[in-house]
Amino acid sequence: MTTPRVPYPITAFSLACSLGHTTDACLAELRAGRRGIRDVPFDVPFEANVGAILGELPSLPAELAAYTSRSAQIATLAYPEIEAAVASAKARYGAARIGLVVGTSTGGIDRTEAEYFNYFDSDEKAGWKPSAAYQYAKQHTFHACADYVGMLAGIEGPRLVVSTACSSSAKAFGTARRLLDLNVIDAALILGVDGLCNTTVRGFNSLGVMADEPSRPFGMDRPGMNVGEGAAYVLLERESDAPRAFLRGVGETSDAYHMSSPEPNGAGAEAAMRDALAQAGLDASAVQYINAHGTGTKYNDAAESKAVIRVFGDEVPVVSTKAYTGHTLGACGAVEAIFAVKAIEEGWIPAAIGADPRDPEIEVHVPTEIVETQIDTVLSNAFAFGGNNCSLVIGREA
Amino acid sequence: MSAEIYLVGAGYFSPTQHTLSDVIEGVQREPIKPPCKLVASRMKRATSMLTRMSVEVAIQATEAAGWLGEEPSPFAMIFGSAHGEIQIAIEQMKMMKEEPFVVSPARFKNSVHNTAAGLFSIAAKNKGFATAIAGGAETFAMCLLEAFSLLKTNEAQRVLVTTGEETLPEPIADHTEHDNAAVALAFQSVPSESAIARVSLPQFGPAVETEFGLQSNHSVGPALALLLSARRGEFGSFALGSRASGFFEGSTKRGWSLEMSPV
Repeated sequence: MTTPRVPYPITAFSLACSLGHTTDACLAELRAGRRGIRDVPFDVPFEANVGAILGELPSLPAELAAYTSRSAQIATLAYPEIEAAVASAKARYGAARIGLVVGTSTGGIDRTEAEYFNYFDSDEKAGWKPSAAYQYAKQHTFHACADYVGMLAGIEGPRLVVSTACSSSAKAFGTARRLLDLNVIDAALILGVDGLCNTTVRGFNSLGVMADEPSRPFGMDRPGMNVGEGAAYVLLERESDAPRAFLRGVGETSDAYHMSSPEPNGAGAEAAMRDALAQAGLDASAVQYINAHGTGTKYNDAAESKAVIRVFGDEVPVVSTKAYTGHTLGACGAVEAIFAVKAIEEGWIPAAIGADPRDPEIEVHVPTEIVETQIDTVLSNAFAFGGNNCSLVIGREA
Repeated sequence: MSAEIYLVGAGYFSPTQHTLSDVIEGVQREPIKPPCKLVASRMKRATSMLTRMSVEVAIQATEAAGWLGEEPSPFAMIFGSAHGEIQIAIEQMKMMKEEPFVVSPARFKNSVHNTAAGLFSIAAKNKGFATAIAGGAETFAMCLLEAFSLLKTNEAQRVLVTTGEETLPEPIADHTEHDNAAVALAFQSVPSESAIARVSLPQFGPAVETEFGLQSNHSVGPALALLLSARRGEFGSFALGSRASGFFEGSTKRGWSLEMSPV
């Protein structure tokens, strides 16, 4: 029997993704119904659309330049917006009492891809010899980006990476909350980050789920997903005089069914949603908006819809913001948690772009126009390879 | 809140030492692939050595703890690795540059860091908590922190922790040399007849000297050192990993450690 858990205030956040370089820029595009979906910005032997960030990415500070990867650059892009809040937390708690929990699926794999591809494209066949600038440990590994952000932010508490594919940064909220419960930290900086790379774009294409047009989650004859990229920081604290919202529940379950396909009836997803609600001490009727995992693939959307129907019925608005951002993979949990907080703060639900006409097999309520309404509680889903499920409940009040 | 948990089961696998007993007795065997007896052959296809080793030690540890076979499966699952599925990652890059320039879907679906977690959850019919963690040289320490927090918040009463690394492909291997190996530890919040040791909450502070150098096998080294000491009845302070900028730089004077005591 799950008992209600201590709610922790979300005190600051920042976001960069294909919609824009700041949280406000991303929200403005979301509100305007404009997608950040475009052609793949590198050569691939097929047609596909992705959620690529436009413009030059910033360089890392000179003293940390050895950590450069696309993920680290995107993390750098999003950092200035949350820097002051991190500084305040350090002043309040001390750097050693602030943890860093990073959710990513591929880390800085693009750096190794670039080096490896250069080797293949060269005449050098004696063996792969990376350039002098390449440093596997500081660029490719999972912990490379965590080390980089830890040093950038000057925080010294526990530093770890949760990498459960597309649920990574949603589960980072669970890990961060438990570290607060355990009293080994007083604040956690959560970062969800993933950069576009050949591995994921070509990998999802190999599974036959990449769309060559903008995705249409829950729509009829939906073409599949658009891989995306982004970085989203969320600061979770033990207490706050100015909370933006509260993390109320984190449900984490496994399908125990298949490595890359969801359990068709969404049983694991249902269990995660029910657990998150129980941890929040809330009934399903308390939720006014569900930010769906909603990848836009046939089977994922169908399974999620079935699970949502059993828990919430068919009246709660269900929207997938991946239609706007693309599927930011390991970053999506944190990206969409920020959308959830903004929905509570500003009282609107994005239009489910591309969902008209809706797939007749999708029974949940998918609003295709912006809904303006008071929102006190949002549930946000993230599901992943390996049958890994995570649902967050975020509320206005503790 | 008691700051201790109980070690109640263990597992170890390397291609030439198939159990913890092999390590203790110094037995070297003919190299084999991890048997993973619970996993259907079709599920093992296109999985890496890392995934198979991690699943094998998970089976050993949960069997030793008496947890396997119970339904619903009553334990949380933490799978740690600093490098993850690096062999598959490089193999996929090669596929992208050679005819027909496509990635194998079977390899891709097994390329994620939580492949072992997913495979073991299916094999053990465990629909509960599963995570996959990385933390460089601190990977094992971070897995233990997650285990503690799950047990002490009552999200779980039993937690499986595995940590494993496979050899790195050329030329990444230049960054570190280590062998294929994986370790598993089964923890619970209350003692039982099979309890091997009592373990304290990891602390960050002055580094503790340990017999197994971290360079030997980042996440596996400290985990194996802990297990061997528990089996030998050697208790005290144990190093779990050091904070460094990257793997091999920075000071090793501070790091994570814990106290292990008899039950």
